[in-house]
This record gives sequence, C-alpha cells and structure tokens, in this order.
Amino acid sequence: MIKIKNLNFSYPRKRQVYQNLSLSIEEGAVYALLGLNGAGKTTLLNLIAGFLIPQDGTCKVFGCEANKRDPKMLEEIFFVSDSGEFPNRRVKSFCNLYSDFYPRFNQTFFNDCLDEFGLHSAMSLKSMSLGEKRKVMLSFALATKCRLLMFDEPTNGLDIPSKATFRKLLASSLDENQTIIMATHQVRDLANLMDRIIIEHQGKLLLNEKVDHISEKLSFGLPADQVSDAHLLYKAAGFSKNETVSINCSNRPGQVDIELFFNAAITNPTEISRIFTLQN
Amino acid sequence: MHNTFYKILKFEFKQNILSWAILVSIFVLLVIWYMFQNYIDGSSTPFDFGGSAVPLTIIFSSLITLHSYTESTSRQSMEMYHLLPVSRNKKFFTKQFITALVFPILLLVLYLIIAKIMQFFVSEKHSAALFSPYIKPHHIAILFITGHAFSTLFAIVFKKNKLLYATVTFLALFIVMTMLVTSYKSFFGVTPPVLKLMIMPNQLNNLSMVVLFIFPIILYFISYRLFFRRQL
Repeated sequence: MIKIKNLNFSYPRKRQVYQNLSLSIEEGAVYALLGLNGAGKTTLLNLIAGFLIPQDGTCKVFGCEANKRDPKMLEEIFFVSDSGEFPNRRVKSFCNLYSDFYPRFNQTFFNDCLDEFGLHSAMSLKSMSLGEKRKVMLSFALATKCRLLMFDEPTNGLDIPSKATFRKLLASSLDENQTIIMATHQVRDLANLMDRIIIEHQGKLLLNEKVDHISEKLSFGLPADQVSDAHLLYKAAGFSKNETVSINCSNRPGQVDIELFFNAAITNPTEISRIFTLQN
Repeated sequence: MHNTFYKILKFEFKQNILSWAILVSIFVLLVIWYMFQNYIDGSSTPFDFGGSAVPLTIIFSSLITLHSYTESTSRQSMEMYHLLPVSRNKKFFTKQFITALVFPILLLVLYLIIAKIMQFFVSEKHSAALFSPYIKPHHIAILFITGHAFSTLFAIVFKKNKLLYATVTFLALFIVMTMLVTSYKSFFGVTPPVLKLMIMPNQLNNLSMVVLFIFPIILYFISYRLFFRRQL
C-alpha cells in the first residue's frame, strides 16, 4: 500500500532527516511510528501525505507518487496532524464543508463519536480547548472511513477518559482494509491497538515488525537477577528491577511492553536489528 | 469530473462566504459614501467608471484574492485543503475563477447599480460622469488581469505577513495602473511631473499589448508552481 524506496530527505539548510530510507506498509494493520524527538516521525507522515518532496527516491501511496497528490490517492487518505490550529467554525459547518469529499463519510458515526467524547455539532471550534478540537478531528478522521488514516500524536491534549474513548472508537470503527499509522510518544495509551511497530533512528529505519513477532522473540519485565547477561538486551536504570528486555527463551509469547522495547531498540540498535529482519 | 469542480466551487463559497460578504459590504459602503461626498461638496466627481471605480474594484478584488489564499492559514485547514481529493488544476482554477472573474464582475455590477441609483440624486453633469469610461476596455482588462496576477502571487508568497502583502501588492498595482492608464488625470485630476515618465504613450502598440497579456500569465504560472509544488 505504501512503498518507500531509497528515500533521501532534508529540510533546507538543515541536517539530513532520512538517508536511503526504504519502508513498506501493508494494508489492514495499525502501525505505531516511534522515534526520538527529531527522528523524523512527522516528516515521514508529511512525506506520505505528499506535503514534502523527497530529494531522492520514491514514496508511493496506493501506487501514486505521494507528492503529486493525485485525487485517487487523496480520496483514501486522511491525516490529523499535531497542529494546534484549527478553522474557526462550528462543528456542523466544519463537517459539512469537508465531508462531501469523502465518499464513504459516515455522518451517523461522526455524531456518535462526538457523543462519546461529550461534544455536539452545534459547538464552535473557536471556543473549544485543544483537547476538544482534537476530539473533533479524530472523530472526523474515523468517520471518513478512508483506507489510510494517519495520526500525529493523536492522544496529545486528550484527558484520561477520552484516551480510552478514542481507543474504543478506533477499535470499533476499523475494518480489515483500513490502515492506521500513528506517530506517538504516548505508547501506553494505544499499546493494545498496535499490530506493528516502526522505529526510526538516526535517519534510518531501525525496525518494522509485527508486535506478535516481538512478543515471540523477546521477554519483557523479567526480574534482572533472573536473566543471564547473554540474554539481557536492556535494563532500565530506574527504580524497578523488573524493567528488562531479554531474549525470549521460553518460546511462549508474552505481553510486549512497547516503552521498554523502544528504549531497548534505541540503546541497543545493532542487537535489535540483528534479532529482527528488516522488511524493505 | 464536473462533480468535483462543483464540489470545490461549493467548498470555496462555503468556506469564505462570510468574509466575502463583509468585504463586499465595505466596498458598497465606500462607494456610496464617496458618491455622496462628491454630491455634497459639489466637486466634479472623480468617481467615474473609468476613474476611481476601477482601481477600487481592483483593490477589493485583491483583498478577496488574499483572503481566498490565506483563509486557510491554520495549519490544519491548509493541510486539509491540500488533502482534498481534487486535482491541483481544479483547486487553482476554482480560486482564480472566483477571485479573478466572479468577484470583480460582482463588484462592478454593484458599482453600476449604485451609480444608477445615484443618477437620481446628482446633477446631469455628474450623472454622466458616473458612467464615463476614461480607460479603454482592453486597458481595463489588462489592469484587472495584471492586478489579480500580482495579488495571487503575493498572497501565496507573503501569506504569513499580510502587511507586507498589502504594501507590495498595492505598490505593484499602483505602478501597473500608472503605466497603463492613458491619462493619469482620469484618476487624480493632475499628473505629478515625476510620474509623467512612468506613463506609457497614449497608444500601446500591438506588441506591447501581447506582452502585457503574457506577463500576468507568467505570474499565474509561477503562483501555481509555488502554491502546489512548494513543501507545506
């Protein structure tokens, strides 16, 4: 569905963000896009949406060159950016304005989402808090039923109950043809929804792996004194002795702690790359 | 195909209708105020069709152009606009269609309606001046197109700095107007000596006419490239 090949990208007069990036994103999965600050998560979403133009290489979405912004491609994409700026209009008017362009837009579902978030369509976006505006955008995105939904920090600004509501709505609205890419630092908020994890590090793709495979190959949260040094990949320097990532010797898949896994990947990238075969 | 054009046209109207209504209302009020002012002080009306109405219409048209390109200044709106599943050509054409054609015509029609009504209130001499076309029609056309082409380009380039937009656009418009209008007097009654150098000869030859029509087309082309090819 998305094929990125040998892509190079840098912003004018700034360091290189991506060098020779190759990545393939398949249909029907929820992807978590992880990376340190400045790793290029938002840049990657912008490249996929066609907002940025790579210096070299290609980024094809639904078979179209992303930066050409072909209507066929755009019909299947919705992107909720991390921006705090929103148009100043009522929710109903906002919905009327944009929904015409999305052939599968589900008005009933949109209203249901607003209800779940405790909002209604007569409210004005201008008078809403950042979190409320994001709820409207997230509701709209889900209601478009686009085949590719991209969220940049979707849970930023959401209160605790709303994070759970978003998880519930996302899980209930998805169908097997839809793909979600979420760039986030709040991995615990959305951990249960994620099918695949992409980690970017130092301008390169460090990992693009199914969560199931990670759980088969690695163990999380074992007490440090029960893990041999040979199998230990990461041990948190914090208070808990149980914050470890190690090779899974039991062959039984366990629960993946995405935060621990990310830390392990960033501190020990060579070893993580060796364990997982990158999919290009 | 027609369906998407209709959709994007509807989108532009829905998105901008309130601001457009405000701008058009200001235009109408200015015209009425200006006409009454001339009527009250008994001066020879400078508000003739070929005189102040044309530059005023161009100024308001350029404000509408600026608004049309910068309404979506919020990052989210801009991204959503560029992600609308409509081809770039249709998006650009629709904005140009509205700002270059629909609005100037609407403003001029409004002017003519007001002028027609004002005829009943002013003397015969002034009444004739309300409709006297001092500028030749093809010069008006060039003035509109060039003014709009500059407005489009500067709206795209300076969309984050409206003051700079206003300064540069109106300076450009002023120069174009001064160069194009066969008699500067039609605008301001007198011609400052320093501007005499900038005024083109009364008769533009065919070659310069062609060049003057090509120039805005080049500006449109640059605007298109900047608006759609530029990274957001």
